[in-house]
Amino acid sequence: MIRIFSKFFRELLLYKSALIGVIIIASLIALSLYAVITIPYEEAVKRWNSIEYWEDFPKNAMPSWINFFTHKKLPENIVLDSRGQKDYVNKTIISLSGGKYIQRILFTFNYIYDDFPSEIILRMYSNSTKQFTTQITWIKPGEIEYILGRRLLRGYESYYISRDEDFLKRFSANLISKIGSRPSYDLDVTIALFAKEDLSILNRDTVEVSKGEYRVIVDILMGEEDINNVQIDAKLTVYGKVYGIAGTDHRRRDLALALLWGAPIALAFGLIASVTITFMQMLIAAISAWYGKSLDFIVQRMTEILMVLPFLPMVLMISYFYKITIWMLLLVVVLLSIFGSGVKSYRAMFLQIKELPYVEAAMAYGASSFRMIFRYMIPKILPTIIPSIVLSVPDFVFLEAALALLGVGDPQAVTWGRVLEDAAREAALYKGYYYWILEPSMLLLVTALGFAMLGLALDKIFNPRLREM
Amino acid sequence: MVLIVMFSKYRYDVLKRLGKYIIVRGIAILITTIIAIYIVILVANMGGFIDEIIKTEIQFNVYESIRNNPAYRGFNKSVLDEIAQKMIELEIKRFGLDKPFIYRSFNYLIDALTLNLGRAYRLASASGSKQVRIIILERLPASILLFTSIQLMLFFSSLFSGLYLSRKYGSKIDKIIVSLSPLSSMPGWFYGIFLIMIFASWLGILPYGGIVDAPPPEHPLFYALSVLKHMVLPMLSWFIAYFAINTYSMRTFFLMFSSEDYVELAKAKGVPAREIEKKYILRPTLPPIVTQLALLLISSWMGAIITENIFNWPGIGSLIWAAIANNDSPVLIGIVTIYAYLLAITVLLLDIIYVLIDPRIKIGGVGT
Amino acid sequence: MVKPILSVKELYLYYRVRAGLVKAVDGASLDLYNEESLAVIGESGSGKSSLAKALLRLLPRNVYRFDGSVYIDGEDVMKLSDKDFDSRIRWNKISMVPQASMNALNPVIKIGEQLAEPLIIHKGMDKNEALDKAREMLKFVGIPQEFIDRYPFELSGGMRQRVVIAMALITQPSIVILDEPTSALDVLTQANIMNLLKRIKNDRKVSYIFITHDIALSSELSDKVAVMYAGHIVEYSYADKFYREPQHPYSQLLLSSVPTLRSDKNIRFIPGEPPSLLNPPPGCRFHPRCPYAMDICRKEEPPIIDMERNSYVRCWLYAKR
Repeated sequence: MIRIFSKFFRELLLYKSALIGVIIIASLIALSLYAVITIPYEEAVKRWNSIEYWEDFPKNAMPSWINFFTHKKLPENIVLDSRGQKDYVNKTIISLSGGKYIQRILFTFNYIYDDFPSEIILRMYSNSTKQFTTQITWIKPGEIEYILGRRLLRGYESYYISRDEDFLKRFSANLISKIGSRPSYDLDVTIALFAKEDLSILNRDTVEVSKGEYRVIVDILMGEEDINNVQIDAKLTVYGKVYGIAGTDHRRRDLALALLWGAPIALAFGLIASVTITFMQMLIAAISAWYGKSLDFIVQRMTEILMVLPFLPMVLMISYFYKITIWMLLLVVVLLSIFGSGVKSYRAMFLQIKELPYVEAAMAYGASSFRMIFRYMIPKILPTIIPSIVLSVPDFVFLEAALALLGVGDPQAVTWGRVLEDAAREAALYKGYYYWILEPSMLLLVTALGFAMLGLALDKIFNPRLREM
Repeated sequence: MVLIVMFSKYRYDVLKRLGKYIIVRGIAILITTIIAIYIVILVANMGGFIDEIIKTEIQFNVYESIRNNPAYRGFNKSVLDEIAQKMIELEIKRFGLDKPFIYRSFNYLIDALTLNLGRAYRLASASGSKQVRIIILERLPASILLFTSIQLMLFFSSLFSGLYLSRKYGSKIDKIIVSLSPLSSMPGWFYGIFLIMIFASWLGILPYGGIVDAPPPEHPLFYALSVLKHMVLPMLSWFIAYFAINTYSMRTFFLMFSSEDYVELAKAKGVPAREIEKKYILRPTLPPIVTQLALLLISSWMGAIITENIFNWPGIGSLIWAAIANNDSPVLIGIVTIYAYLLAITVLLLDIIYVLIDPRIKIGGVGT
Repeated sequence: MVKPILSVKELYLYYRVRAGLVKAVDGASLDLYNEESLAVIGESGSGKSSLAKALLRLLPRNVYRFDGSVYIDGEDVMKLSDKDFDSRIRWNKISMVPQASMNALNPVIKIGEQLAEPLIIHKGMDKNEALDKAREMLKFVGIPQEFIDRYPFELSGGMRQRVVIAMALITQPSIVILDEPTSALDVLTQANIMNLLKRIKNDRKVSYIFITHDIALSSELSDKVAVMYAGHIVEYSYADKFYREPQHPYSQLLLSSVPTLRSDKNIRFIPGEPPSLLNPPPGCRFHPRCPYAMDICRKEEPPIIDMERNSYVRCWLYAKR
């Protein structure tokens, strides 16, 4: 058995296309295994649908390897958290007169990129319900210092620095007096906080990033009774424009998670659908051809009914009305397909096989129907089915993607189709977020190609008439 | 006139047999259609659930209109409630929702079968009519235009290239086409996304979607040109997806048929190559090819839903989608009914044509 | 001296398959005279069908080598262009009754039309004239003339075969190749067809090349015999001599494997299997199965050794030392 298998395998690999197909599928399987092992399914779904998990991720960031190809280096994500001992943060206590103290958290970081960050958010945490006054100072390279503002902290405060209009007004006024003219475009806070403050800042095209060491000081005013009891922490997030291996989406989610987990789901969906449907069709055709008469009649009518029913609208209707999960969808697709047109063609083949002499011989010695179907008829047809199983996998993968694109997919699912749908809904093409569309599409494409190439090569092998004629 | 002449040529018993065959097939297909449509009715109404939705909506609308109607100001609550109840009942009667679903489902069935497609719940045609028939008819031409063009383009291009390739089996171009066939593992709409990205988003030379420029050109010639311009990307996307594989299967098909013994003998007889192609390869293969084409055409008029969505094409495909999104069962059922009928008629017609073309079936003679 | 109407000299036909090069016809030579019938005998895969088809220039795909000389009526037709060959030689001078004639007729075209076709193409007749001749032909081969309007599937196997024979004769070619004309038929029909063929030979003065693996059958209708083995003609001689005294060991084994009705014969069979045309054995291709194999047989291919009366053998046994 094994020898036949390996001989067949070697013949298969003679075809270059089959080789490529096998490599692709093997990589997908490896990817899927990696996904399943590193992050279990429920965890992945939970993460994908959460908001808090992604709070420090940039929005709509491109993949970070883009920086290899551009000479203008886009900023990475910088997250500075005072919790835990890190060397970029320094906590000190300054005592003032009158029994007042300042808890000072100092963040230091180097900014070496050629472009401005997308957002800047400072989050402050206190474990007391008391209200404290805080002051945030921003120091650019060259010791240019700005007081960003004062905030009140009770428990938790998030300061959206890059949307602080007040600060922007003050900065602009300051800038005009410093340089003497106003910029020809509308400044925003990120530029204000990161640009070189010379004539270059006046023009959108010439504005430059001031590279170097940046410091952010968070001062919290406290009384004596609190200074040793209250724990204050802060997290400064300077949101980049690139992130990770795949970038992020509009909900700040690392696309790599969905791309990674899309693989096992796509494989599972496609393979289960394809194998189940083909086998069921074959089984039904075999039974129908073998038993004939009324059973055959019923099966034929059912096949015709299902052929008249429009498949896609039915699937659409069901998934829309009944709001089903992706695995229920799989079940529906299977149920709607098992009486499909394959049954007719397999039945024709089985009818031919039934007339074969060795089948007749087996009947003559009284083999049971079960035995006849499973040991005689089905094995004869198996070789021809295998190519079609492989070839139909991409169809189902794309079906799931299509349903997601139309918005009727499982809203919680972590699939390539969902990523595409998000991208489409957020008009990624208009906004120029090509990577958002290209990444899931490429994965879909590669998957489809892999199975198609393998399937076509298998077809050539199993369908002897297609071989060198 | 032609038909009568045609039929008089054949022997009477052949006609009788044909007639019986048609009737038997016709009945079988009719039953199939009926059952299929009934299933759709059941699913489309979610077993009556949709009606509950509609009823709730009616209630809400009635109360709203009462509240906003100055004539009813100042009435006390119980009186208002009575009025509301009456209006609700009226509305429900109008929509036919007062009887339990199971009875209504059969009414729907009869209506659907007689093509009395009723009124839409929510959707309306561009001309304002709520008649399902008009809504559907309005959208039908767009789908037919686009998809018939696509199918015909694919059919003829793959037929001729398949024929050409079967002659040049093993040549370089043959190998190229064969290696391109995995392209079809991706559906047409998938390429559509990329084509839009390239030609509309990046290059900006072709439109993102729709059937005609907005605002549409006045002059009919420019209108037609505008429509053509909008057809380019959808057609191109389907061409890329399906040309290679269709050519491949046509070529394989013709190859199998051209290795038949009688073809070789014809070659031996010195029959010119053109004749061989016509009489010995095409003619025997005509029935299955024509069957395929006809079935493809019909199913394509359903307007590949996703393609129409991606390209914003105002055809049946996007209508189906709108009907689903709006819980508009009458429209859905109407579309599926028409489709089922179309398909049934086509299958029947094809059976008849097949019989006429293939003499083996027509005469059913010795050793068929 | 009478010239042969067909003279084949050193015909080669090789073609490529995935696994290598198939040497289907490896240097075959033969002569055929007017009203003569040549039987080409051999096992399956010996190259006899390829030889027949090569004579009609019905080449497989991936032809690798096709050369030699084929003189028909003194003209080397190998030198003709495809177009000339089509119009002048095909069916005009030489026609064919193919193997497995079950499928030799176009299923969707009426028989009359198919019969008439060669006349329309090669003799320039118009449709009605040609159909008349077709009716005559049908009568000649023993089929009712109404069948001119029938389709192939309406005929039985034997009748179809007669139609194909009629089709091969209708343009009155001088040479007809019959490739296993009866192998798909039952014995009774076979006998009928053989009788028909004999009648045609006498009436129409046609030369046959009769290809078969059935030696008994070939003896009924042959003046000359060519035995093919692995692409070579290993023996070529006159029938009367051949059936009494076959020279080549292969021929001898072939003849001794045919049972005879009245005498008590020691039936022998030939061990082993026919060689693959992809990888023929070195030296004489028959040596693995030959009971007389000598050393030289294993190393060198035997040359054509002329024997009396224009016959030859390819066997080291007959080489003059």
